[in-house]
Amino acid sequence: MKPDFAQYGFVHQENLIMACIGGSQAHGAKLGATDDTDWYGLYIPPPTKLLGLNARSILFSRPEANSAATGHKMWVSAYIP
Amino acid sequence: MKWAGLAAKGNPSALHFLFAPLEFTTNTWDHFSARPELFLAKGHVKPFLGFADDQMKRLLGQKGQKNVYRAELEDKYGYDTKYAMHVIRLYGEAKELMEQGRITLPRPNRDELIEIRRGKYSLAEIRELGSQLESEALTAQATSPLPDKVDRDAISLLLADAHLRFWSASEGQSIP
Repeated sequence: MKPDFAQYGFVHQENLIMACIGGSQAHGAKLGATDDTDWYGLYIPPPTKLLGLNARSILFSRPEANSAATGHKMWVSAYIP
Repeated sequence: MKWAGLAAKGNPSALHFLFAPLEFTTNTWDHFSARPELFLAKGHVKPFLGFADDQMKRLLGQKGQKNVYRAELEDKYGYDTKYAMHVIRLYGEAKELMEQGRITLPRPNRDELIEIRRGKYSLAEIRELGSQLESEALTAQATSPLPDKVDRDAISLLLADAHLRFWSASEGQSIP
């Protein structure tokens, strides 16, 4: 299911091309609910955002955002490929 | 820094994108990630072991601040066992990458990794295990099926293709 990065202020939600969970969970070494959830994604901005005069920072990162749904700590990072 | 640039240099976190179970994907990513071998090379053993060595030194108090993150684990086990788990995990990934040309996620030795987190091993045993895995990774590098270095031109073509495919398929985002 497509994660909702927009709730953390990510403005290119429709441009996500993939998302995965990293960290301890990806390694299979998560212990209960004690670990943060590390979300990663890649997105391709619209051409004007990537190539235009007003191109802005391309790395989106919101460390330790709290999930509106669960209250758990989340690390959300989105890169362009 | 672009993700592909990090991956092509052998950044462990960036390479995980190619091997982690996906929570969400698209045709663009499926096409892009169909050839993970483009991003892999024998030389990647260096950043993996570099990260692991650096973290091992911090764990042992030989570099920077010791156990800076989790005081509760140090109180309980004498050292930061979660940090130790990631160190051993990195050495193991370096070895698998050189031997098999891939990184399996979740890790095949996840039970061992969890035992490390739970403080089963002494710090001396962690150091010994790390040293053994590092040696095995370097040995595997000599006979690795991976190329000596990544094909940056092929990656650039793949990147350009992915952008054009996505923009073509995205209504309202293509160039008029």
